[in-house]
Amino acid sequence: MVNLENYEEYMMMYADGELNEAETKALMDFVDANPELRKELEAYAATKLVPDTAMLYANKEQLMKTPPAGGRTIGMRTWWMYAAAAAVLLFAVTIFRQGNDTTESPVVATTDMPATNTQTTPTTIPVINNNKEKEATTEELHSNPTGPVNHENNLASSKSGAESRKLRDDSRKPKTIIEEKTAEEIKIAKEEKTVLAPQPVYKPEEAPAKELIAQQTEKPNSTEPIASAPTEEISNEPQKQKRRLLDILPISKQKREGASMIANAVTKRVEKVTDNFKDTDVTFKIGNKEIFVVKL
Amino acid sequence: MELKDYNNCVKEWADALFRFACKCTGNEEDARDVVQNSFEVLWQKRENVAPAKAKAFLFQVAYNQSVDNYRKQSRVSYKEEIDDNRSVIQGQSDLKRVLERALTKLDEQARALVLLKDYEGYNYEEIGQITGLNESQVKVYLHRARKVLKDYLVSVENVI
Repeated sequence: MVNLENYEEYMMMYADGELNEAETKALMDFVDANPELRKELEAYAATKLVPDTAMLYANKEQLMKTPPAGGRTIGMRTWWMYAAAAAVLLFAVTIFRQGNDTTESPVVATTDMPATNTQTTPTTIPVINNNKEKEATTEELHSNPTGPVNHENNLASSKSGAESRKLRDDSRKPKTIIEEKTAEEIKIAKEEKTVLAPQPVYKPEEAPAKELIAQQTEKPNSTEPIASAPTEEISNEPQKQKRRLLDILPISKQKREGASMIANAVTKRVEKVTDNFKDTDVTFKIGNKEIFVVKL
Repeated sequence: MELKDYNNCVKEWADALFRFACKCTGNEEDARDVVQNSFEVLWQKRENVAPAKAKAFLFQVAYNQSVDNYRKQSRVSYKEEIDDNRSVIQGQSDLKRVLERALTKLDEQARALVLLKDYEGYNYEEIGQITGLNESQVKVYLHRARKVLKDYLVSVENVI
């Protein structure tokens, strides 16, 4: 309650604007009851300073900050976009080059060979006895644009894995292969199956090849089954390199093999347009269905 | 606080900070230095200052620079003539002139408290946060200052 002991504090708080409505009313009632204190109240109220709004800080703009050059920021964004695009292109080129480094074209062999095999397999036994037809079939295989396949190595190219190295020497000596015993070839076929098992694309080829090997006699024309996977031996080392590079990719084994097949398929197609590759769009097709086109 | 918030603070509070610093330091040149330094500190600390707290932060820096530093350096030479020459505007009331003179009777801290109270409308608690004083100290110092001002006004009025 306002009284003669504390009225001055109330007046100062009134000047400070710190009194609530009830306290203000109490103070006013007290002053009304003591009119001699009104001048003192007015004097306290007059001590309230009023800012001189005409006093301004000149050149506020000097205090303001400007953002860093916007163009530079955009430039960095553009740079990163180009960098990302370059990284994608580098990856794509790497895949292409990996495919180019190999002379194999397993996907092509898959797409092309089954037709040949399905035709030749049922007639394998009779064809085996027919040297001319067998040679024709082999030539047909070799004439198939499956990349820079070395014809000298075709005989041995059906082998894969560590065994293929041994057979590479054998391929230089066709007679040796002819003189190979069936048991050994069956062993090779088993190893082929083991090595190529993770590659589902080869399975259709291996099955007839294995059958042919199993049915193979000592006849010299029995090279046909061995040639059923003509690029395996040649592409052995590059494929290993490719596998190692592909292993770096954070993708599943199945996808990795798929990427390998696609890369090989692309390699095959690219080889067909080598002369004007720079000006050619690369179209990816499965069968007659166009998957996508790479605009170059 | 982003750059945009900072620039808004300049637009919003530079004049008020300048008036406060001008009354505290007693001259415009020092006041401009105080304002520049205050905004520079705000810019450096912008990551830690929310836009809503920027005004109090500015006045805290300005208070420290214009009151504490000047007091420690004994550089304050608040001359009545300076304020008179600047603030005497044609048509200005006698009361305001007398009050400007009365303000020179206060020490730097009391003057700053009154300015924060009357110019900026801060309550005791907010003034305590800016000045580093507790609420009771603010209230006591402010009432002492208010009494000095009142007595000066009454004395001048009696003379007149």
